[in-house]
Amino acid sequence: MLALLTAGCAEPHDREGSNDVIDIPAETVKADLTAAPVQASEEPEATEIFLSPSYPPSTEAPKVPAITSVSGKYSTYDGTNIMRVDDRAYEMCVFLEDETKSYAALISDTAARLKGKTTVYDLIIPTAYGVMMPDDMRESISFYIDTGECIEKVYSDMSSDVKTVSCYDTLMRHRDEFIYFRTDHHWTANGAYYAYSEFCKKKGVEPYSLEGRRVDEYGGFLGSLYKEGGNIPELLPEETVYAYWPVSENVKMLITTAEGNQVEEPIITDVSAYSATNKYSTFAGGDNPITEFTNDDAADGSVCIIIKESFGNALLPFLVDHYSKVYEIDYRYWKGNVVELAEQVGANDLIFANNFMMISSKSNIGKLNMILH
Amino acid sequence: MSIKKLLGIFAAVMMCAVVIALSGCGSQETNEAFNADETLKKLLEDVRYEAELEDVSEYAGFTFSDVADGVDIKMYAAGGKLNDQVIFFKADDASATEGINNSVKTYIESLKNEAKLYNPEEVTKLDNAVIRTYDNCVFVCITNDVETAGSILTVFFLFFL
Repeated sequence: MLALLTAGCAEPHDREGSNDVIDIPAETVKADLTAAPVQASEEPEATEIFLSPSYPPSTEAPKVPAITSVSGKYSTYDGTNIMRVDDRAYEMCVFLEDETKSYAALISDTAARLKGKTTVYDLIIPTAYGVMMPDDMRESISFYIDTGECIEKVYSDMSSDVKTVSCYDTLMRHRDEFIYFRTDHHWTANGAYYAYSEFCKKKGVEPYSLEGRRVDEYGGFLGSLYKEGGNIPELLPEETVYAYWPVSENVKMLITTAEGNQVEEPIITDVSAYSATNKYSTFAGGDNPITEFTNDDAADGSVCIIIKESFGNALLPFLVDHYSKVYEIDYRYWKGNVVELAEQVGANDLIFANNFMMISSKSNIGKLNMILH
Repeated sequence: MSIKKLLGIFAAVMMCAVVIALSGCGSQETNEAFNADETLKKLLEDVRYEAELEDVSEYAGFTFSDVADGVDIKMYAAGGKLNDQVIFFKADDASATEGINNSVKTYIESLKNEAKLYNPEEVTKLDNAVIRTYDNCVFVCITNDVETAGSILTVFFLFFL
């Protein structure tokens, strides 16, 4: 894993042993974090979570909030890709150019084949590793990669037929907000909202505001990284999943399961009774081969297909407001042909929403290829 | 002639037959192709998988685009959340197998990274992937039925000598 981390980066950083704690001297260490963890006993006021003080964008030059670690150290966990700094866990990222070039070629080829019929968008989603890593750690860790630069490199490998959506800078400007979970590899609905806003900008439509939306809250969330790391105590307390509903009131969701059964469910699932690890499943029914959304409030007959893994789930409640029909496909589990589907349903837009780890994943890119050819 | 002598002659004849069989009749190329195809067939038919394996060979070249040109790849996979699969690489010569093994290693590592987050129950299966290299051939078998897969590939190895 460490060998992979160093591909295209500075000199390797070898370590052995379990739960290694690496002491990286920081230039300055502040006693308090700019993004303090949510205490289980105190719920934040709604305005702190739902509305950023800096959003909608002001006329001033955008600033990236500084984040400095408390401890100046990071820990890794044997047999995992997890890194922890203070009370936040990260899935360590790699950037493998051979794989990302394959990914870029796939997207470009799809856009060429659908040219004139369906507009193809590509949204590479940064993970917390790229956005939330404290600045002192970004500078000190020799194998740390700049996610923003890597994403732009991949976009530069794509043809002009692809409309690329850059959300890294926007997420960086809002990194002092609750945009990524501390205990899970996913982003929050707020993080997804900022990416959705960038997509709208690219598409040339106004994003619907977060204000006034119905929002569900599911506490007690201890996500994938907490669990995979063996229940890391430093990541406590639990987090809360906030799930925004669409603005449209008449959205139906029809899931086709891996077994081929069709189930109608609300777009935000009540996950109160779900295990602590599975609260992220509240968004768009979780990961299923194909899910169809119908918005009776959008009468223009517009159709969108979104090809995603789990990060994309949190985008759906925002995207469905803009289309009469959305087909959400998880390329890891669906067996079909996207180009044929796009032609069959008359898709106006095809969005690839893929997280930063995926674009370097040989197996996932292989699976994506299978549904594109 | 005593029974002992008869048995001795019988054993000697059998030994000769085994030696002749192992050294091969006809061209080495015919035997190698026969054995590899038979072994692949056994891996597909005799090993237990959690779901039926589909022939996805047409996509294998893309997934393993980093192996040398001229490598023939056959790939069969369960798909979905299951990682059960069989992959067979046959290169023009043995020098390509190092590159093939590197590519396989990267591939399995990426499957594991995915499994750790989404299907932790698949991680052990991937850790126990059976990978064997014989001259210009590389076999990969990912299954819970590791014993059967391993024994099939061991027999192939003996045949190959």
